[in-house]
Amino acid sequence: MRRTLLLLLIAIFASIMIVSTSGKLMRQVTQYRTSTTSALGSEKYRYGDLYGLSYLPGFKIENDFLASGVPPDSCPVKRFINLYVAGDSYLGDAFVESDSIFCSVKSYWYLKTNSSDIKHVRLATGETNILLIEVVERDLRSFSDTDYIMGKMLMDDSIHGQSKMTVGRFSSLVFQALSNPSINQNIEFNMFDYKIFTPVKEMKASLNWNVFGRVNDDVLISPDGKYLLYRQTIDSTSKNGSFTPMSDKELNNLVRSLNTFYAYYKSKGFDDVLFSVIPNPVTILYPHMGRYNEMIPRVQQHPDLKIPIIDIYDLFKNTNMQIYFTSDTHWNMNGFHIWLNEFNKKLMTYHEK
Amino acid sequence: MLFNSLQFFVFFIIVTALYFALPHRFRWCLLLLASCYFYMVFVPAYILILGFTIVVDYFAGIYIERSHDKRRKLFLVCSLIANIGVLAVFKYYNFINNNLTVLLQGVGLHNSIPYLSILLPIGLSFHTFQAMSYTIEVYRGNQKAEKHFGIYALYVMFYPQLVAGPIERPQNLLHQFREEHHFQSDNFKNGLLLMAFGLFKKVVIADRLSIAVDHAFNNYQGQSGLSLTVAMFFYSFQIYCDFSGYSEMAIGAAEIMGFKLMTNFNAPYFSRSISEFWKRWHISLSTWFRDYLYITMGGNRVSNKKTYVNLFIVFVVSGLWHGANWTFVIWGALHGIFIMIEKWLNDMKIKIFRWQNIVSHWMEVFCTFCLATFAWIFFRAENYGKAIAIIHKIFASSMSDRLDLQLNHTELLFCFFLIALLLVKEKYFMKLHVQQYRTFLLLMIVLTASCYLFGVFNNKQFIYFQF
Repeated sequence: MRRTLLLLLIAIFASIMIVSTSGKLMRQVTQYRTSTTSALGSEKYRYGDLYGLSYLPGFKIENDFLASGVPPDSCPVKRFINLYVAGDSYLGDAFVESDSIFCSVKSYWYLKTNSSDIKHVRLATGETNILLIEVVERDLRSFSDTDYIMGKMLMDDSIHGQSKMTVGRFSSLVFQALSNPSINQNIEFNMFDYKIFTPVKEMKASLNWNVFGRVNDDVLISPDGKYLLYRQTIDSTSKNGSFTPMSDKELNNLVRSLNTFYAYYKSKGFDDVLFSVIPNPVTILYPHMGRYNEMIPRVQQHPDLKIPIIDIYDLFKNTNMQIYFTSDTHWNMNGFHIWLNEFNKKLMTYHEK
Repeated sequence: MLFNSLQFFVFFIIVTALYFALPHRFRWCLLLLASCYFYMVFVPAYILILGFTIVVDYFAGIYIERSHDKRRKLFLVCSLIANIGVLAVFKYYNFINNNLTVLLQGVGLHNSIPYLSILLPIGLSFHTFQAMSYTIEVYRGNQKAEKHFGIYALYVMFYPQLVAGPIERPQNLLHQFREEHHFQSDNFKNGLLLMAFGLFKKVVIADRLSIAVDHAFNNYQGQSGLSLTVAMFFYSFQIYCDFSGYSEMAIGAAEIMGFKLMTNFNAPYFSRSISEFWKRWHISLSTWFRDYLYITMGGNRVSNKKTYVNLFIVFVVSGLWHGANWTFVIWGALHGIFIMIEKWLNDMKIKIFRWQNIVSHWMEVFCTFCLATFAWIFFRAENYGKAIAIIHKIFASSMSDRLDLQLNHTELLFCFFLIALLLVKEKYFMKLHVQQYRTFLLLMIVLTASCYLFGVFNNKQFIYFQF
C-alpha cells in the first residue's frame, strides 16, 4: 500500500516536472488550458496577463480578444501577397484570428520572436513576399542584437544539418532543460493555476494591497487607479523601460541593426521588409510618470534608418479612444484596428509581380 | 535550485518518494544523481569543477591511508593545494589581481595580468571545505578512507547541504550513506516542520526585511541616519533568517530521509559575548576553523600573545572565506578584535557588567547583538567607502530624521512583530519536537498559510549562496 502510494506520488510529480521543463509540452498544455473553460482551464490570461500576475480582484475584467478586424472596402479583391511576420504577442493568434483581415494577403506566416522558437523560411519565387518585423517598445532594445531576429528566422539556405541529433545538440538540449528560466512559472501554472485556487490568490493579493500597499513585483497600479501597468516599462533602470535613458550610441546601434535586417532579408528575396513598433501603454497613457526617452520617435525619425516604418505613435497619442486593456499589457481591439488600418494602407501599395 | 522555489518543492517530493521506494542498495545512486541535477540547475558546467575536487580528494584519501610519514603528508598537501587552488582561481584570482593592480599603480607600474571573466561557482567555499575536512580527517587517522567512489562523491555533493552547508565532517555523514534508513513518522514530522520553519524565516521574515534593507543600503546617500540605523538592525535579522532558514530546510530535508546533519545555529542573538556568538552562529564553519586552523596553529597551547594573534588570523581568514572583498576581511577582523578584547578582559578578570542579575544578563546580550550588528554593515556594504559613509550617517542620526524604508506604517510594524515572534520562538521553542499528528498538522497549516499569505516570493537567492 505504501509503495503504491509512493509510486503514485512519483508519477504525478515527475509528470509535472517533465511537462514544466519541456517547452514543447508546455506550449501544448498552455494552449489547451487557456482555451477550455472547464475546471482544468487556466485563469491566468482570461482576465488579462497583468491580472494573472497580480490577482487583484478589482481588475478582474473579461477582455474582448479575437474580435477580428474587417479589411477596408477599398481593399483589392485579389489576394497575392505572402505575408511573413516576425513579431510578438501583439500580432499573435489572440488578435490575428485569420489572415483575411489583411489586404491582398493570401498566406500568413508568423514567428513569435520573444520565445525560443526558431523557424525556417522558403520563399515562393515569382510571388510577392513581404516581411513585417513587429515589436513592442519594451523589447525594442533587444533588436540591437541582430540574432534576436536573424537567429530565429532562418532562410532556407541555412537549414542544412540542423535536424541531425548530434552529441553537441543533445547536450545543449539537456543544458536548456536544466536551466529553463521559466520552470517555476510553468510549475505554478501546472499545479496551482486552476479556478479553485483563484479566490485564495485574490485574497492574498487584496490582503497585501490593502494592508501593505503592495502588489506583485511585476505590476504597478497607474496613478489614477484605472490601469495595471507592467513594472519593467516604468522602471528607469530596466532596459525595457520607457523612462530609461537611451544614448545616441545605443540609438545608432539599434538603427544599424534594423538596417541589417532590412538589407539581409531583401537580399534573400523579400520584395519589401517593414518595421513597426507598438508603444508601451505607459508611453501613451502616463508619459508624466517619468521622463520619456523618446525611443520611438528617435528611431523612426533617424536620418540613417532605411527600413520602411508602419508608424502608429502619433495616431496613438492623438486618439480619444481607449486603446489598451486595463488589466493586460496589450492593446485592445481599438488599438489593434488603428494599427491594422495603417498596415493595410501600406499593403495596398503593392502590386502583383 | 532555490529551496524557496516550486522547482525544489517538486524535486524534493520526487527524490524523497523515490528514496523510500527504492531498495537500499540503489539509494546512493539516486541521491548522487539528484544532487548532480540539483547543482547543475544553477550553472551546469560547474559540475566539472566539483568533479575535479571529488576525484582528487577521493584518491588522496586512499593514498593518504596507504602511505606512511612524509608521503602521507605529501598526498594531504596535494589535496589541499587542489582544493585551495580551485578556490584561489575561481574566487580569489580577480581579487588578488585587482589588489596587485592597485599596488603596482602606486609605484607607477602597469599590471598586464589579465582578469578572468568567470562566474563564481555556487557554494564553492562550502563543498571545498567539506572536501578538505575529509582528507584532513583521513590524515589524522580519525576517518577511514572511503573506497566507494559513489559514496564519497555523495559525501561532497549531498544535495541538502551542497551549496550552503552545514559543512559536515566525514565522521558524522559518511557512515550514514551506508545505513539503511526506514521511513519514520517522527523524522517525517520533525523534518517537515523544520523545513516549514526555515521557509517561514526565509520568505516571510528575511525577504520582507530585505525590502527595507535593500532600499536603504542601495540608496544610502539619500537616506537619513535613522533609516540606515533601522536598516542595519533589520539586516542582522535578515541575514540570520536567510541563512538559518536555509540550514533548517537543509537539515529538515535530510532528516525526512533519516539523515542527521549537524546543527548550524543556536539562537546566536541571545549570546552574552562575541565568543559565545561564534559558538551559536554558523557552527559548522566556526568549528571547522577551530578544528583545522586554530588548533593546527597551536590553539590555546601557545603563549598568550600568540593566542591573540592566532585568534585574529582565524577571524580574518574566516572573513576572507566569505568573499573576495576587503569588506569581508574587515568584518572578520572586527570580530577578531572583539574576541581579543573579550579575552583580554577575561584574562584581566575585568567585568563590564558587575552585577549578576537579569539586567546585566540582558545588557550583555544587547551589547553583543549591537557589536555583531555593527560588523554586519561591512558584510552588507559593497565596498569599504560605502560602509564608512553609512556608519557616518548612522552616528549623525537625530530625532528629526525621516524614516523612509519603502514600507508603510503597517508593514513596518509587521516587520517588528515578525522579529519579536522570531525571538520568542528562538528563546522558548528552539527545538520543537512534535509527537502528536494533530499538533503537527495544525502547525503545518499555520506555517504554510503564513508563508503563502505573508511570504515575499521574488525568487531572491539565499545570501550565503554567493560564498
